[in-house]
Amino acid sequence: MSKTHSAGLRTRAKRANFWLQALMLASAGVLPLLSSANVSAAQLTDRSVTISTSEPSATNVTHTFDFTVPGDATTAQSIEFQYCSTPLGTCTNPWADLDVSSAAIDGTPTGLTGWAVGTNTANTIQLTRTDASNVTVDTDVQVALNGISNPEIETTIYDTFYIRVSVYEDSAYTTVRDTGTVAGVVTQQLTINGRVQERLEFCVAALGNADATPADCDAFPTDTNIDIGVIEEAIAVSPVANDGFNGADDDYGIAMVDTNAGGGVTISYFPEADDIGTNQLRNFRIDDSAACDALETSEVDTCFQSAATGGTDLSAAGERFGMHIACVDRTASEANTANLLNNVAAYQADASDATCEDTEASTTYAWDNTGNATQIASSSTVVNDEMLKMRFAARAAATTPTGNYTVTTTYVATATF
Amino acid sequence: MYLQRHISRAFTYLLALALAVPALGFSGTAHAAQLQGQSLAIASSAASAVTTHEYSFTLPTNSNVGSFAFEYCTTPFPETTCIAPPGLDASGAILNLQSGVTGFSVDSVNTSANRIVIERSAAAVVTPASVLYQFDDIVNPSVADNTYYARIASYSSSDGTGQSIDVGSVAFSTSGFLGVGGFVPPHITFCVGITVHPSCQSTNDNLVSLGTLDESTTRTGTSQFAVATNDDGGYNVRFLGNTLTSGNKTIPPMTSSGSSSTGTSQFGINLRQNSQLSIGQEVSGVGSGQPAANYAGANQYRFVSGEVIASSSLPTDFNRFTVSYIANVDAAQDVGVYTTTIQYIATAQF
Repeated sequence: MSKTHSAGLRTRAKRANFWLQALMLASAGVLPLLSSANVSAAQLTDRSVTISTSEPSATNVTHTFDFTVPGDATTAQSIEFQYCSTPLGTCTNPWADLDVSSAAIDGTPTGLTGWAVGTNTANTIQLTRTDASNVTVDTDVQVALNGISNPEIETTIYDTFYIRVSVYEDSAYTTVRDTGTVAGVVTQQLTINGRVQERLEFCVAALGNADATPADCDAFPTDTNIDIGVIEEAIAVSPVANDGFNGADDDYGIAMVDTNAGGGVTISYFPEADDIGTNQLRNFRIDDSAACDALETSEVDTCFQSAATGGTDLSAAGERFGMHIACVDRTASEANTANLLNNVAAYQADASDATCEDTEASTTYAWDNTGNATQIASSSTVVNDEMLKMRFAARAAATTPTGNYTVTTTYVATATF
Repeated sequence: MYLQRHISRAFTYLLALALAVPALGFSGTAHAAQLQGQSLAIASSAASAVTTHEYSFTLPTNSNVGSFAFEYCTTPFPETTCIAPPGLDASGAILNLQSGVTGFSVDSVNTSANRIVIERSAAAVVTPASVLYQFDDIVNPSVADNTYYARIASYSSSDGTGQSIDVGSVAFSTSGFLGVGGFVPPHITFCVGITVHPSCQSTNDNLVSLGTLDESTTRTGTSQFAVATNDDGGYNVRFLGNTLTSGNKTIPPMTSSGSSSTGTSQFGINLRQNSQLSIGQEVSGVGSGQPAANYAGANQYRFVSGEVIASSSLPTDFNRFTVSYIANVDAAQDVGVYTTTIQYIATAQF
């Protein structure tokens, strides 16, 4: 090859390279013009969509859009929200039965206002307004749209969908001002189950006169014996202070109930029958005694005459034994209810005894030795750690035989759930 | 590859089966409705007591009902495993009472220690139906101071199996014992005075004045005592004292029972209402005490120091006795101021 020919080839090659570069530069300048619809649009910033529920298949869902309109001071007279399965490219419906054509403005938009629904389609919501004033740069906009139905979940976990938001300068949706895409998701709901079980806590014990009210049944004393001490021809009522000689233990009887039974609870009692002996087996008696008279009125046998089931005033002379409810103690905790009532007249001491101490004036006591459970208190609804304070009274006759007298009572709580 | 494919399929089926089994296990209560107002009243809350359990509740579902099951557990939820309360035994339960939906009897085949099944031919229930079933001879759980539960379910089957229709639970407690004791001491109550309260609440004075003694008039006076005791052997009341005395001069005591004789020096007592001299009272009160025989004759008097004048052989409530005193003197009775002090003593042997 000659030098001349060789130089010619290099020159042609340079020219070709020049024209190629020129073509590339020209193409770079022309391509933006080819996609002119978006080329001049700015990006919406701080954009988001908040959906009122992500529950699959939920109806009348509200989609609240927030975004900032940037750019120069031009008009914004229409917005289009296009629901797609992808953020870019050809828009296809994110779910088969999507229909947002009934969407409406929810509440009052902020930032840019005065919107009215334009012509919606199955996957497009259009808003328009007549306000032709320029938009202040970086205006924060919020628009809520309701009447949208969520899709069924097509995957096992979630479905993501995209909403392409376009703000137009004009009201004909032609001159794009700003664009941006937001994503939403419909996902499985989490169901949380819990159960509140039927609850009935009931406890009975003896409580020292100076002891604090137990907080609940778990804190209840284990002592279940009350000693009235020496019983003579005057009324002796528990709690009887121990004077060093009388053997008394200064105890109340207490019964606490805690239940979530909506139908309330009743508390009943009955004296247990002595397992050995004859007559008056459920009276205050010498244990296992066979010397109780068939007639309960006897005051020379080894069984105390019981107070009447309707109540007996033990201030009068004569042999008697009975019980009454001094009060309902509701001081176990601040959450105590005030629903348990000692509303059985025969067993009710002074209702005005707010202090719930052994100061009630009533000297009436009752005792039911039939063996049938006798109701002494009740509620018509739930009870939270309310406590009956029970007092036992005995009065001997001059003839009441000497000895240790005792009786065991059983208390039963029945709740209606 | 073939083997791997089969192993993979087998694993898939096992997984599916494992997922399905719990679902089947829960299916018995999956669609059951809740009983309303259910309660369990136990006649005794004592641990291990053989007692009565009475269920009442309202059925909410219109359905054919052929059986009920009452299952005792440590937890209430039907879909959880039932752990029987320790010691509870309902296997001998007797259906003692039924109302509302009736015609049931205990299904002895399907009833166990902690599950009672009552059966009948399935029949329609018109709701809401309030029902009551009372069972005797159930042994309470053996642990005191505890809460236990009974799960109630209705079935269309007659053996307590299959899909439950209505379910509900109740709670009951084995707490509730309280012992009360007291001591009645041995005692004897005794009081003496010119007058005394029938039950010794008060006494009045202690001086019997017989006035001026002369041979033509019988001088009299009275005093009282009351006594009660709870001693099994009752009591005795004695008196100790001298006859009327003035220095070394005395009015002779009546050492044998006799009537009052004016003009004869004598001093005696009795515990009766006397007609001849119109003194004294009969014993009063509800007690069983009585004057002793030597002092129980009306118009008959006696004075022997140390003798029992009243007694009871039983524990006795109060009796009030009136002691009548008579004094006569003859014309030769020496002048003087005659006095005596008498002690009354009540004794009991405890």
